Amino acid sequence: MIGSEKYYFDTFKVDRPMMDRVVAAALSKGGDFADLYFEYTTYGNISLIDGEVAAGGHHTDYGVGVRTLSGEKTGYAYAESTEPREMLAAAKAAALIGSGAAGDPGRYRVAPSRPALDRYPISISWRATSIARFAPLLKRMEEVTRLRYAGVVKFIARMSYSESDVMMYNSLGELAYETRPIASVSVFAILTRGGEVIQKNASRSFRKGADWLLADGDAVVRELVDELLKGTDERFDARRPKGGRMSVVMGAGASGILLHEAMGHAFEADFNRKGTSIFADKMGLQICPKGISIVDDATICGSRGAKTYDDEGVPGEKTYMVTDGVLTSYLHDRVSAAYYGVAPTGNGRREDFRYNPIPRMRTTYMENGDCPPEEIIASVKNGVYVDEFSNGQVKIGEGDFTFYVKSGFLIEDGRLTMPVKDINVIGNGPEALSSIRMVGNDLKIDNGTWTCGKEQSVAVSCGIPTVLVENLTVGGE
Amino acid sequence: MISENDIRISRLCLDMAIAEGAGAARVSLTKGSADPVTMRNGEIDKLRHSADRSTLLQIYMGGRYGTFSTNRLAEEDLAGFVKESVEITSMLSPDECYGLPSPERTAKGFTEGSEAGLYDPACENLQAEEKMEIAKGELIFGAVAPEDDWKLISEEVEYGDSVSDSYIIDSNGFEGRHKETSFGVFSEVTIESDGKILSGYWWRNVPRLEELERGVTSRKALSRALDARGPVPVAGGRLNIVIDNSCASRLVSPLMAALDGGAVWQKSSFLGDDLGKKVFSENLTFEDRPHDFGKPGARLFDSEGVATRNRAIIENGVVREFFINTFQSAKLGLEGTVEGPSRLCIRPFADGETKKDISLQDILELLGDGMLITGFNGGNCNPTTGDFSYGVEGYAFKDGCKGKPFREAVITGNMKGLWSKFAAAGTDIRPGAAWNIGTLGFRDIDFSA
Repeated sequence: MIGSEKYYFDTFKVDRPMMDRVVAAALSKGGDFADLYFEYTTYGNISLIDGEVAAGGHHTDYGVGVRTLSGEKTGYAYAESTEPREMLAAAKAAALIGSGAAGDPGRYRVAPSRPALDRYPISISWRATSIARFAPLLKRMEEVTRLRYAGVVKFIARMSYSESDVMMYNSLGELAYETRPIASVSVFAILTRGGEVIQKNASRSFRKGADWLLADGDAVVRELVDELLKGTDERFDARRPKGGRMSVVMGAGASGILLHEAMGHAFEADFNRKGTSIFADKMGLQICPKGISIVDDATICGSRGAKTYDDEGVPGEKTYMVTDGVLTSYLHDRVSAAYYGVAPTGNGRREDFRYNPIPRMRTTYMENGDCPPEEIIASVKNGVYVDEFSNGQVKIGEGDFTFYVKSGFLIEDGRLTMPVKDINVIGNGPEALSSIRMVGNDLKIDNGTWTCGKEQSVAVSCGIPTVLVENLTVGGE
Repeated sequence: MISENDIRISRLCLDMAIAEGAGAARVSLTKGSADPVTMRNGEIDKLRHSADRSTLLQIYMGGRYGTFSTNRLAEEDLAGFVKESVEITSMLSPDECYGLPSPERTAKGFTEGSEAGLYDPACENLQAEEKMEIAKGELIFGAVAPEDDWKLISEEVEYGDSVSDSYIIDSNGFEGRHKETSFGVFSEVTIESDGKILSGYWWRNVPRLEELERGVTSRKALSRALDARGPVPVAGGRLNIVIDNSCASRLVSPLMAALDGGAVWQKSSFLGDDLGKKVFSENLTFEDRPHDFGKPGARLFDSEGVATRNRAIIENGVVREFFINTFQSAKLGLEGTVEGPSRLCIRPFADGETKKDISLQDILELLGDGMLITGFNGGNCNPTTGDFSYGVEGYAFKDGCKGKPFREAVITGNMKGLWSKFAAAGTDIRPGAAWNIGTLGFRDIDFSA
C-alpha cells in the first residue's frame, strides 16, 4: 500500500531539509552516494496450544539506516530514533568509508525509473484489527484436524503479522515510501498410528492485509488442514531406500526451494562481482538446455516475494536470469548495477533498518515447459520423486548442494511406489541445471512461509513445474 | 552501556505494568553495540556501526501471558506501550501454568554485570585504526604467491568486536545483569584451481582481546581451500567416522534439542521418555559448567533469572536432566532446571579411558581407517525419532593418516545409535567456544557416497 507523503513524513518526524542535512553528513568525507532507510514496524502474534489461545505478543521496531557508498565500498550505521542528533551521528559514522576526495554522484544514478505499482493493496490494516479476532480461526483448525484424523497427539497453530511503514531517500533526491504487510498462519501436529509418531506441518504466508483472513478464513482453514493431513499414511509407511546415483523428479511447487538455494544464489550479483560464483564469467552463455527460463519476480501480487519497491527505492520488476537456457541477467542492487553498468533489478533487500541492502531473491521460479507431469514420471525407470525438500545447504563457489527430502516416493518402472524418508539429494548446481531433461507444464508457486537467510533474513517465495534431473546422488542406506 | 537512567526506565516499565493490572511481570532490557570492519582483497570494503536497545515486557495476569517488545524507550512512548500490552494480554485465554519462577530459584546479588568474568574493558578504548590493523594483520592478498595449479580469486577478512549488556528485573524481586564482550576475526578465501572455484573459511572468537590469536585465519582458510583440491570418489559402507573440532558440535545440537523441556512437553523429543535411563555409551558424559567464571558461556542466571549451577546433563550414558523452564515445569510436573545449556563440556575420552590430552591425530590413530569429516552440507535430524541424514565432506583416512578429500557424501543413522557407538572425544577445544566439543570419533556409521 502506498500512503501519502505527509503520512510518512509525520510517522518519521522528518522533512526534506532535515533528510538533506543527514545525506550531506553521510557524504561529508567524499562518498559517491548516500541513502536513508526509515522503518516503523509493528508485529503481532498469537498461538493456540493445547486447545487454547494462551500466548500472544506485540512488538514495535523503529529506526533509520544510513548508508554511504564510495565506489563499491559501503559505510553503514543506524539509529533507533529519528532525532536529528542521532541521525547525524549515524551519518557521520557511515561517512568514514569516504576516501576524502570528491565523489561521483552519477555513478549510482539509476536508468529512468519504472513506475512503482502497488503489489500489496490493503483493505483492512493489521494495525487496526485486534489480533484476538483471529483466535476462533486457530481453534477451528484444531477442531477440523481432530475431526479428520483420530491420532492427533499434539496440535499447535500460530498466526503472526507485521506491518511496516518504510520511507527511502537518497542523495539523488529520490524519495519512495510504502506500507508493507506480511502475515503467516502455520499449523504443526504430532500424529500417531500404531505406536509410531510423525511430525507434520503446513503454512501459508502472504503480503496481504487483515482482509485476507477476515474474508477467506474458512478457505485458509480448509487448505492448511488438507495440506497438513495429506499423505499421512504414506509418511508412516515411508522407509529409507537404498542410495546411489539416479534420476530425481522434483514435484511442482515447494521443491522450487532447490532452485532458489542451489542455483538462485549463484545468480546474485554480489557473488559474481567478487568472482566467487560459478556463474561469474558466464554471462550470455548457454548454461542449461534450451527451453529453460528461470525468473526472479517481484510482481506477483500478494506473494511473500512481492515488492512494490526494493529496499533501495527501486521499483520491483520481473527479472529473467536464464532465458531459453542462456544466462541473461544477475540479480542487482545499486552497488553491483553500478559495477556492471546496468540498471538495478530491484533486488537490493535487507532484513530491517539495521542492515545494509544486498542482492536478494524475491519469488524465484522456473517457467513452464511442455511436458505433462505424468509423462515425466513415466519416463523414469529407477529414481526418486520429491514432493518437498527441507534443510538445504549450498556452497556458492563450488555449487555443491545437499537437500533433505521431507516427502517423496521411489519411482520404479515409471510408477510412484514406496514412500521414502530420511534421505538427502546431493549434487552440484550448474551440473544439475545442465542435467535437466524434462520440464513440466504445471508450474506452481508455493505460498509457504519461506525465509532466506543469506547474512540477513528476508521473506521470499519459490516455485517450479515438475522437473526431471538426471544423475544426482541420493544418500540412503 | 546500560545506564542508571536505563535501569530507572526498566523499573518504571515494571511498575506501570503492575499498575495497569498485571499480576506479575518481568522486564528485560538489552543493549548492544558492534563495529565490524571488512576488508576485501587487501582494501577496506565495509565499515558498520550498530548500537541496539530493546525492552522485552512479559506480563502474567490471572494465568494469561503475553510478551511485548519495543525499541522506543522514551518515557512518553512507554506508557502507551505498557497499556496496550496489558490490554492484549487480558484478551488471551488463561493457562495456570504460566508464572514467574519462585524467588528461591532465582539468582541473588549479580547486579554489576561483570560477575561472570566475560567483560573486557578493552572494548571501550579500541579505536577504528586499531581495528583495521587487526584485520590487516590477517591478510594474505598479495602476500601469498599463487602456484601453477591455483590462483587466489578473493579474500574477505572481517574483524568485529561487540558488547552485549542485559538487565532483568521482575515483580518477585529478582534483579540481575550480565554483560560480555566478544572479539573475533573471520576470513574467507576463494581460489580457482583446475577451472573450479573452491573456498575455505576460518574464524577466531574470544571474550578478551588479549586472547585473540593474530595472523592465522586467512592462512588457515587458504589451507582449507587448497586441501579440498582433487576430490576422489569414495566407497560407502559402515565406516569409522571422525568429526573434527570445527564442526563436531553439529552432532551434539540434536541431543541438546531433545533435552529441551519444550520439545519434551510437545512430545517432539526422541529422549522424552528417557529421563534417568541409560541410552548412550557408558563413556558419554556431558556437563553444563556455567560457573567456570571467565570462560566462554559462563552465566549466573538464565533469561527467567533462575540461578545456574554446574551439573551433569548426561552422565555415563544416563540422561540426568532436561532443560525445563517454569511453564514447562508446571506442564510436565517435573522440577524446573534452567532454560538451556550455557557452557557445555563433553568428558574427554579415548581408547577405553579418560585422558588429559587427546588430539585429532590420536583419534585418527585409534580408529585406524575411516572418514574424517571437516564440514557438513545440509541434512536433517528428525527431532521426534532421532533419525538423521547429513551431507558431509572431508578426507578418507587409513592407518591413522589423512588421505584424499571427498565430497557429495552422507552419513545416516539414529542419534541414540550414533552416541552408543561413541569411541572418542578430544581435548582439542577451539578457543572461545561456549560449547567445549573437541574432535569426536564413532565406530560403524552408515556412510554413503
